[in-house]
Amino acid sequence: MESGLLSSVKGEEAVREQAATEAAGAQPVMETAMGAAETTAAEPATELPAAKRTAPPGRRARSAGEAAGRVVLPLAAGALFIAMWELKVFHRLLNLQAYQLPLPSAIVRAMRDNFDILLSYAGYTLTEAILGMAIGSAVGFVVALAATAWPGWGAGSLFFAASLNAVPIVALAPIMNLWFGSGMGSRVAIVAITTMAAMAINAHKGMNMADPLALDLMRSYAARKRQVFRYVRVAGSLPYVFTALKINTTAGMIGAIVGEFFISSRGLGYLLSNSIKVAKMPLGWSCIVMAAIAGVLFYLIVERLEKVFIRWHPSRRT
Amino acid sequence: MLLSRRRRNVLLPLVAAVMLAMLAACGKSAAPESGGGAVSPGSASSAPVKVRIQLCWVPQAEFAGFYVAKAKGYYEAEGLEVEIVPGGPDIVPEQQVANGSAQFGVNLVGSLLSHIEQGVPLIQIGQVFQDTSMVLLSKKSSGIDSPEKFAGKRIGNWMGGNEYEVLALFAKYGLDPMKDLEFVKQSFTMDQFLSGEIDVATAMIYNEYHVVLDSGYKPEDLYIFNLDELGVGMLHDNLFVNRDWLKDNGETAVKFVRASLKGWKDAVMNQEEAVDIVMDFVEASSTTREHQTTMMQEVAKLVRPEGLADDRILFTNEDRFRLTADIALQFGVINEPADISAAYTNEYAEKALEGM
Repeated sequence: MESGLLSSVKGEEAVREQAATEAAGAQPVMETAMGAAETTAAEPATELPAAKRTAPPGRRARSAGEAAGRVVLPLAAGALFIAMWELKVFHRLLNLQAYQLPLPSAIVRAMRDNFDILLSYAGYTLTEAILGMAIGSAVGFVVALAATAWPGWGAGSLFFAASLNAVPIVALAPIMNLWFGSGMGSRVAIVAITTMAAMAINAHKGMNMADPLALDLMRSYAARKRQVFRYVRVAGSLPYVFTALKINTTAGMIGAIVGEFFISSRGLGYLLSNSIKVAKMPLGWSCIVMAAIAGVLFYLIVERLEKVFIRWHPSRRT
Repeated sequence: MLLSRRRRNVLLPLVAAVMLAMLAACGKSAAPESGGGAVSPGSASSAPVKVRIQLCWVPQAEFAGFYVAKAKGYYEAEGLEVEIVPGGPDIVPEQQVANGSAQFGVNLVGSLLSHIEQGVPLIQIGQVFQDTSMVLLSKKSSGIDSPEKFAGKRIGNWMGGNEYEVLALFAKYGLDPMKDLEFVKQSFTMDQFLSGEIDVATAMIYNEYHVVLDSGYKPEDLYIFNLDELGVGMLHDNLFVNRDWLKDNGETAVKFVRASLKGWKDAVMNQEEAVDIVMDFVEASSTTREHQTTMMQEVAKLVRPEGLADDRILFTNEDRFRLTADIALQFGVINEPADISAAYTNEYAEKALEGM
């Protein structure tokens, strides 16, 4: 397919030139194309401060009000939600008792009383999720790399990764406990397996979405296969890789927590399942709150990393 | 851009309103469903009253009396159609009874007290096991012959409500489960104990203890810690109902207790027959007749310990119940002293006995 494309543009100098410029768009090393894109993309962003500087007072007040609304409205909605919960509006709507859905005040009390243990367990679960995700994502990336470099047999490994993804955690957990004991290892393994496929499939897609014209350009530079991989395929796959990482933060937290439901003596998942069994619902809900906070933090860290690593990409230049 | 943002501002409350309406609809549709689940005594005397009993574990001789009562038609004779619902690691009978999925439940007294304290409207109407059925095991080769030597070791328990007696034991010997030893979750096989992954294991005297014996250990190879003798034994398998349900269904409760009482008496007296019946209900691949026979022998001793009068089977012993509640309070299962008179009643067992 590449060679077909090559021959079709062969001899048409004008088209070839245009292609090279276009290809540069996906090329982190091409400064000119980047600069051009930046100015267009930056326009909407610079518009607002400019408007602020020159706008009449009325307009400024409105935009300030709007900015306040952006902060105040969600906060007010959140406060309203918690107030309705505390006043048992949801209990009445869903026909629940306080022992079935504890009140926010009881959850806060349980969090305060058990803060040390919750913090240490959140750290434990997060460690499992991060370690597992790092291993799973690394393996997934290597699988994608292999599948791209040697499409013949590499595609098989991709299929294998996808089929592993279809194995439910509940089936995996007892087996991993058998293999790695009841320590942290079994949950790391569960997370690694459940995060591998998303990375393999996304990274593979990213590597094969490389602009054919960019590949042509590299060929015209007489770039080696390794260089093509480094500058076009791997670099071009980064947005996909980060998408997979972001999916995997959530999947990793789920894997770690569900894994702990089975055999674990520590962690948020363990405490959550145990609290519910012994009717300590507020403590169980504090585990949910902690897991949510840890999950959001984990996600934000990966998102931050994404901003650092693929600042050059059009989707990031806002 | 301004316009679109404004439109979003309008949309947000709209979406919220729709979601609330959906929630409300859910709540409304759920209400009659749960109402339908809680069966009221049939107005027509001919139609049997359907009730469910939620067990705390899989079908086995631990629950023989209920299976015998069902198989021999004792429930039917009382005009009840009883479904015996097996339990499992993630089923909490107290919660199943509270939400109306079942009318009767069997679990540990400590767990019941903890649920009652949380405001779950439950009341105990029968006591199946008159003693604790839990022991701790260590291998003689480990040299752990007293609870003092638990320090620095790995102690296993199934958790989820089974840990209280063991925690009580730790507290009694001044051991902090977070620092002085490793208190770890034990699986439902005894593999961790057999492989040496844990040094001390929790076992039910009628079940896991015999699993260890069947794996080649002899009683003299093991140290057996009797929790009753160590002063931390709590009452085990009980029979409880939803307090709100009981108000309108007292008669059904009496009938159920009466038939169950007959079933348990038969099971204790004629263990061979009881095992035959239990074997029809067990999951055949996971147990053997031999194991169920041994279990039945041990369970019979718990249901009718030596010295217990025949007419006290299934009755709650106030002193033992109070002791359990005291231990529960002392070791943090519950935070406030339990109102014992509101937590259990023998009224239904008495009435059941009258009609026999």
